Amino acid sequence: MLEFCLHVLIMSAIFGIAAVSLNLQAGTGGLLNFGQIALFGIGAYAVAILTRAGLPWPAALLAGMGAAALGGFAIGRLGRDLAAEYWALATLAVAELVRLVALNEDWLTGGPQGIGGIAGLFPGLDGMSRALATLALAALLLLGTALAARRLGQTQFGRVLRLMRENPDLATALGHDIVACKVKVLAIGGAMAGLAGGLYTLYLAFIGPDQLLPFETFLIWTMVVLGGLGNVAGAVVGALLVTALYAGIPFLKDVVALPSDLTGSLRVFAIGSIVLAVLMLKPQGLVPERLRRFHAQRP
Amino acid sequence: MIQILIDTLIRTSDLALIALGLNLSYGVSRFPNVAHVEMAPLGAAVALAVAALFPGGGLVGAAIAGALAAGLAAMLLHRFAFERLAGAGPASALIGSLAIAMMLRAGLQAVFGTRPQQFDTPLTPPHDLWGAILSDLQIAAIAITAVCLIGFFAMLRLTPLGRSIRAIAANPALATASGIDARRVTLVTVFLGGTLAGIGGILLALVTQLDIGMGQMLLLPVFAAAIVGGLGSLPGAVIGAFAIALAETLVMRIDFGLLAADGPRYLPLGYLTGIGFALIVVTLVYRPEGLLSRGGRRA
Repeated sequence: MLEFCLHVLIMSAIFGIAAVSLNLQAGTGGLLNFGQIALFGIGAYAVAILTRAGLPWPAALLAGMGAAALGGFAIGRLGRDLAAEYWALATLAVAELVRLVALNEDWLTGGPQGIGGIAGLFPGLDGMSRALATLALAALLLLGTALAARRLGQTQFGRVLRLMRENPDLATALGHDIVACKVKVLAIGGAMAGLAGGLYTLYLAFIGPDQLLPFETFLIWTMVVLGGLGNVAGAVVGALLVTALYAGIPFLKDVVALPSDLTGSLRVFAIGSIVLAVLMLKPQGLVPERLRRFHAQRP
Repeated sequence: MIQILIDTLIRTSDLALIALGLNLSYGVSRFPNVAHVEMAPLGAAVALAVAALFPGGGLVGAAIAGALAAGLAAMLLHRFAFERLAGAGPASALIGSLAIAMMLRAGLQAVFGTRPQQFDTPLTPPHDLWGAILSDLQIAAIAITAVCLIGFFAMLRLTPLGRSIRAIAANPALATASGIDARRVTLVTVFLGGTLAGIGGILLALVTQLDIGMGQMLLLPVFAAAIVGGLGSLPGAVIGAFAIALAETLVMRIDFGLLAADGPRYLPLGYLTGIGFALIVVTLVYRPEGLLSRGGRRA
């Protein structure tokens, strides 16, 4: 039981980083990135490939963040003059293309089997102490990411991002370069998502194309929507709740007799209904965005 | 050569009705409804259930019941979910429609099971048409698609309802001012869109089999067809479906080895599904308004 709780906490911290990243893009910047899992996946695969090649994990993690930042940069350049919903569909398609490459380029990504047997974190420790050390590292990185995201939201850049979300035309009229802002926030968000992906690979010692399904993006969206778009703390709360729920539902079958193939459907159904319920009943989420009363500090 | 044409037509008939329904709904509700493609497996599953319950009712009766059920489901979803979500902006509606798509898919899986099922149709020997292979069912599917398309466009051009639909799609405010009940016409239009998707799903299930997860497989090709043709454009949806079908058929048959002159080299089959995604990206980057539509670019 304790091990299970530790596992849920570690996964919450990892997905919390991905949720903070999406919150920065979608909540603050209003960019509907439905390809978040691609950025996560680029980081995950980069770490898997590089550690397999013998690189120590901190270096691989940094390289994974860099690769995912480049990915974010590319997605930002791609749809630079698209309206929001069109861009969202384009990111969904890009994410599927990334997954197809992972599925088909066996020489690089191991194909459908993925890459397993990765050395992982803290090979010197074992059992509980290893899980605790992993949790400490993941929580520390989540804290760092969250603080960075919050700090970014308080700067002039964050203010321009909010303006871009509310009224892109006005932002342009005020002389802000929207394309540059979009690309920049996606590159930063990409680096964060890549960090989450890399940690995920290191923790599970495995990454495969099935981890990059569009549903995973939707899971991260659920965390952000539930927690409240535009608020860093909300993204963390949402990640914890959704991860716990998602990991806990299979245990329902111990309480009520349920056929095991039903629990899979039930999980998806529960996630979908959470999003729908939040959007219909409490669109601002559990931790609503608090608009600042202060002037932004100029960098 | 003939085989390429036949394959393209078969794939077009898979996509055209569903893409047409998508664009029809988009025209009046103004957000890309991801849940729309789930009307295809819904219609097919209901048709299959009706056919099993009333074996004497015949396939046509079951198909009509399935198509109407899909239309009804689309209308109810619009009335009780999307009307409210769309009020909060296209972003909420888009995320909400993703949530509803997940819930529908999970619900269908829970009710109808995940095993692929087939309609009870007589086995007939395939025809040889100038060297191309074609089955009775495929001919029927292409013919029914053509009849539905002609009937639909005739309705749109010639009846008062068609005129109201076009008016609302073109200018909702002006249409309302001219005495059209926008809400009612929108609901009827969404019903028609769902019915078209239901027919498309039933035909797909007839020719191959009913896979409850078909919505996931259809999502990006159908959106690719709708976007390539122009989101919201009705003739565009059909042309887009044909373009996607042609691209998929051609790319798989082109021998890329001829370009490099080092033996036959085809695109790996695993990338087949990626063609639709790639076309979405290419279209959105170079001609986001699609072949036949306006809008899509930011300001």
